[in-house]
Amino acid sequence: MTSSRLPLLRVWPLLCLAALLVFLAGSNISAIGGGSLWGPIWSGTTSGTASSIRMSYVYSPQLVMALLSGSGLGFAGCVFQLSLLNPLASPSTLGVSSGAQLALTLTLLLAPELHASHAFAIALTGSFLAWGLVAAIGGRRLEDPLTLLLSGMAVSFTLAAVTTCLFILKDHYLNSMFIWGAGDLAQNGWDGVRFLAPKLVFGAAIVLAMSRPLSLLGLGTGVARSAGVPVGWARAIVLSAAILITAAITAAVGIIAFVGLAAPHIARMAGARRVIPQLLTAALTGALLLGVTDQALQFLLKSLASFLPAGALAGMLGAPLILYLMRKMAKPPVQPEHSLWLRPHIIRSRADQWRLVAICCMVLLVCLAIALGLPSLDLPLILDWRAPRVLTALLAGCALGCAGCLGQRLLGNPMASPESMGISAGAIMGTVLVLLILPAAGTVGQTAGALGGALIVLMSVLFYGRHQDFDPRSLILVGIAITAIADAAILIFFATGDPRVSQVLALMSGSTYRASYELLSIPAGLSLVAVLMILPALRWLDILPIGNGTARALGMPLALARTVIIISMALLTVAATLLAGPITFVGLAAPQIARVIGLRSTGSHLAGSAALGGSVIVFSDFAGRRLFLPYELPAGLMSVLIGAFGLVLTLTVLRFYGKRRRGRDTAVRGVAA
Amino acid sequence: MRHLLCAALCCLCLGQAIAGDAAARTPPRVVPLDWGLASTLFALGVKVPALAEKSGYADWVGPENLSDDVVDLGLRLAPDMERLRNADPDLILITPQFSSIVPRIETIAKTKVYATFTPEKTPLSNSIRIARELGELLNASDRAEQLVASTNEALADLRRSRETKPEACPVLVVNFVDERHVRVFADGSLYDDVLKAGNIENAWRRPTNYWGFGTAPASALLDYPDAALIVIGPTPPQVQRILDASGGTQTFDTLLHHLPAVEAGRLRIIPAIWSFGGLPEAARLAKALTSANLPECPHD
Repeated sequence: MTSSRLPLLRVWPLLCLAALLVFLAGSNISAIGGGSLWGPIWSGTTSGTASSIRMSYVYSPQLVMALLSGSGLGFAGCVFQLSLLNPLASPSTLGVSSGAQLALTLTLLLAPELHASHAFAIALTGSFLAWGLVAAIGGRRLEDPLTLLLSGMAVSFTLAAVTTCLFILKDHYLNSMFIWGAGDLAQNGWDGVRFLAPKLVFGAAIVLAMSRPLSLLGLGTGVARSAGVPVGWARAIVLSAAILITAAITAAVGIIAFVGLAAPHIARMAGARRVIPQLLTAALTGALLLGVTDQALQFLLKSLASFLPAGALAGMLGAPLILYLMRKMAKPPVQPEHSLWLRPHIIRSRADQWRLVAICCMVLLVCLAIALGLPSLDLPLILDWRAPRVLTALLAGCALGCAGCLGQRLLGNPMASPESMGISAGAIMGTVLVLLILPAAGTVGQTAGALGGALIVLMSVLFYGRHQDFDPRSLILVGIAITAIADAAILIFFATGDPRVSQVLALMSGSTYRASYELLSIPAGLSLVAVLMILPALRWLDILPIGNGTARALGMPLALARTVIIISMALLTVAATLLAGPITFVGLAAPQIARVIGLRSTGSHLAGSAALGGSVIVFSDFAGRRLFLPYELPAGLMSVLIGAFGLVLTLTVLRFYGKRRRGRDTAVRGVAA
Repeated sequence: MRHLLCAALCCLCLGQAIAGDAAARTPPRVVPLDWGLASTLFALGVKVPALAEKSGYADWVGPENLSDDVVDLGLRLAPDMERLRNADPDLILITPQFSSIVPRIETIAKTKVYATFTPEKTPLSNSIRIARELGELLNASDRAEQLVASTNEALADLRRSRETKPEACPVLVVNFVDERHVRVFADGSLYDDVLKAGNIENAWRRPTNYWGFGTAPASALLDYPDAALIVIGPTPPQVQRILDASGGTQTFDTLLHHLPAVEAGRLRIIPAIWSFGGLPEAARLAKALTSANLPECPHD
């Protein structure tokens, strides 16, 4: 399609993929029983032998389904990226997949019949509702790519947290959702293809008819507007078409990560610049990527006879590619990093800052009292059962708040958080691995697994960062890649139908359930070491956010400073993970809040972050225990939900502020997400 | 702080002492954290004061009508510790899957571990042993022997019905996860042990997990053209529709209709039986299999 106009050099990856696909498909077909079997498929009859049934009801529909879904995902991904001017836009980063997943999970629980008969309508409704939520949160700022991405991620995390709650509470009723979430392409006949194909054609036709407005949108909102394109409407129509396509695919086969993100990038690297060639090349690339993944899986697993869903595997294989793409993107930063900081509205004196810290500590005390169940004085109950959990939550929250604060100051990036270094993901991968190898492993085994995983990740991050003078960005990139791999591994684990799904999910989402006084000592020790390490480095932390140049000019040993900070951050994260599993979000949010309320000096910022982090986790733990008593939800999930509530509140307040002082600060609202 | 800790320690000791006294209570209050153990206890006629995921238990395991005074403990693998403590058990029964919380549970009451599923992969004989041990422990040895005897009876019936059919098919025991995926039960599962006791061959040859099942695409069933297909519930509605229709006029055209077992009428559907259960579940499966009248595969 495009190869005739492009130098061969650029399209060689596509040609290689195509050749690989033909080779793999050929050998798979001959393994089933030879090419002679194609005859019966075309004529529509089956001779009834096992191999002909396999050919016409299993193999061929699956191959067609892989190519169709792949092309649809590539196409839709390209539409997302073009119309939103955002190279990272995809159904998963915009919350659309999470919306579909939540809607399908809820219907499966409440009305299984409806779920069976109307999966597409449900997925579509969920997707559009999620998108509506993103639009509502983003408000008028939706045109700003950063705001869009952040609102998308926030909605995505929140909906995913609700889904996880349902998974934990009702795991037995949701077995099929685990396989669906891992995106397996297996087919039982042509029903799936008959279902999907018309929707893809319809969606694609709408987009292709809108190709001129789309290409203008791709040049920027301003250009499009001056060319007379009704930007809002044009964008809404093409996005709706893309959402329709992805919802149809998720309803048909489940969630398939990565293809929609990678295909458009590969298409652009192959030289497709104008809109229609780019869309079509992305579709072709997507089809090739998913087709090759699916065929390679069948080719390799024939002898092993085990079950691996292609969607999750694609996510795992795609991690290095995402790493590569993000590296390329990271070079020209969208805007100078400092402007991403939420600016406090009030500048406070040092004494005022410490007074604020004292108020934070009082909030923490109130949370502690509520969580312990005071003023009830059932002392044995409180001391034996509540205190260990509350202490664990407290220590974990404080450690994460500190780690987040260190990370954000180190990287000069408010989006940095402990989990973005991949340490939490490493810890959880270690735990799951131990559970897989030793199904009856106790606390010691699981703790060792967590520690091992975290250390391996830390080592690889340090090893990788060593060459770049511990350049913050490369650290985060490794973290993202490792997290992607861990996510995929866990999806595959769930798809195997292991009966401990609910337990592992709770572990993974950060729970204080197993807390006891004995388990407190090691993490407390680690945190203490970290705090002692960081105390002499407080001055460095004051300087680092200003920028490398300043730091160097002041004679700071940059590499040493960064190593010290990274190690103590890692120690704090490991301590928190050992205590309560990987808790996301609080490491990101607590330091942000501390900063917004005006804690700027390193000392008060650290103390405030710790107190706020502790409050959030202690309260989340309490809420998780109480909400569906006696059914317990993990603190980590509750903190995400509470955080989402806080986010909506913050945005509302900021919008109100914005009305009064319009134009004061555009970046603020985006980052608040 | 020291005083507080001292007080805590005293309370702990006091609690232990009370628990020690209570062990003499008759009948002792026994709380099973695992559904399979709970089902065995019910079969032994033991009254259970608390149970995890009570509503789920009714759906998945038990015909037993749980009375309202049975306390719901919350999630099976993460029971609410405070409720467990307040249920005032004398004895807590767990499986090795709870080992990470054993130190905590032990402070509430005496805790005993019973493993139906072990690396030796002999769940049926483990279940028999567990039923006898529980009977002995709870002064219900008679009931335990009755349970073992009635289970053996059911297994013997199954074996006899098998002997009347010299050419009985090997079977595949599956549970449909969705219309495209099945869990296949084989070596190491309770279902498979029942088949073994009934002298029925399990056709599935692929590796299984710790609990004796594997997840596979439905197309994997094509690899066993000579096997009978035993579908154990719960079956998702869309699969149920297809399987129901397969006897009559064919309005669907999917792989499931062309499975050799379905085409040859070698399909048997059995209502839900908890696959991680114990002796009562084994007996139920044996009875269901006997009355399902397993098909024959004449070799020509």
